Amino acid sequence: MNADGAHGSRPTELDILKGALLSAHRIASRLAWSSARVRPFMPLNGVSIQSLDDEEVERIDAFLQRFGALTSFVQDQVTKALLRAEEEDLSEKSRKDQRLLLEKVGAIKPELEFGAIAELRNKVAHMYPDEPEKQAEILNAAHVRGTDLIQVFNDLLDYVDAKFFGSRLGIAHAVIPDSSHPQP
Amino acid sequence: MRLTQNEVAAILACANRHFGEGATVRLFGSRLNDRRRGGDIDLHVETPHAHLARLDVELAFLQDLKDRIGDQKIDLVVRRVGEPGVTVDAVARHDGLVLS
Repeated sequence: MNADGAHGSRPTELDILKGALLSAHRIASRLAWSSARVRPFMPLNGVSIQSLDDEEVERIDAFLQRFGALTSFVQDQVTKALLRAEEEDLSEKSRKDQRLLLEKVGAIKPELEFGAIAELRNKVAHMYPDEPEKQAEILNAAHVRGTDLIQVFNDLLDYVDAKFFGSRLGIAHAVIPDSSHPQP
Repeated sequence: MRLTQNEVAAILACANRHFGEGATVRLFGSRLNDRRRGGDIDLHVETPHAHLARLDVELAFLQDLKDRIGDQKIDLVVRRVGEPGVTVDAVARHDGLVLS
């Protein structure tokens, strides 16, 4: 389907970019919701992490899954789609090269340290269950950085909307709810 | 050991920079086995500088190292010298190769 909803022709780079942003928006919105859902028992420490009940553990698992999913999706889908729309040749560019390009054009703010967020995603994947102190440190960092990650997405959205869609893209920011009992 | 000299040099330079002078770096896991292929680079670091055994320092180390050796999969464990360890520490200390 192209930007006008018609079938049959190959999607343009902007169709692909819009699709990537729509998918990322769904993940970012769920991450925002999960972030609010774990907020009541954050930050954790080596003792409190061991006294979480099953529901709280499930909330954390959902948060971490979405944190990882959005990081990957921004890194692998949105970034590439945006750079292709910018007519950049990606064949020789590493993930870091791609990130630096997006920082250079102003699509990602360097102070949000998306590179560090990506490394943190890897640390989440390598958490050892017999290290509660370390687990708590990583979870606390992911919760803080989750807010930055959502901001990275919102900044990318603003950049794309202004540059390619004349501010008519129609995808809202992902927002972390204020309430400690957010609704899905 | 399946690391190049340049990779070892980069690991040691980054460890010295981020975890301070005197940090001990061990390679453990699959990269010790010359007959296997691929696999994460499993690193165990012990630093005498307690204030540097922090998650944000680990993340900075990993970014710095990947800038030098490329975007490889690296599994990093960092401890203060003398910090009680868990299973992974015992494995790294017993089987690991101190990089120098």
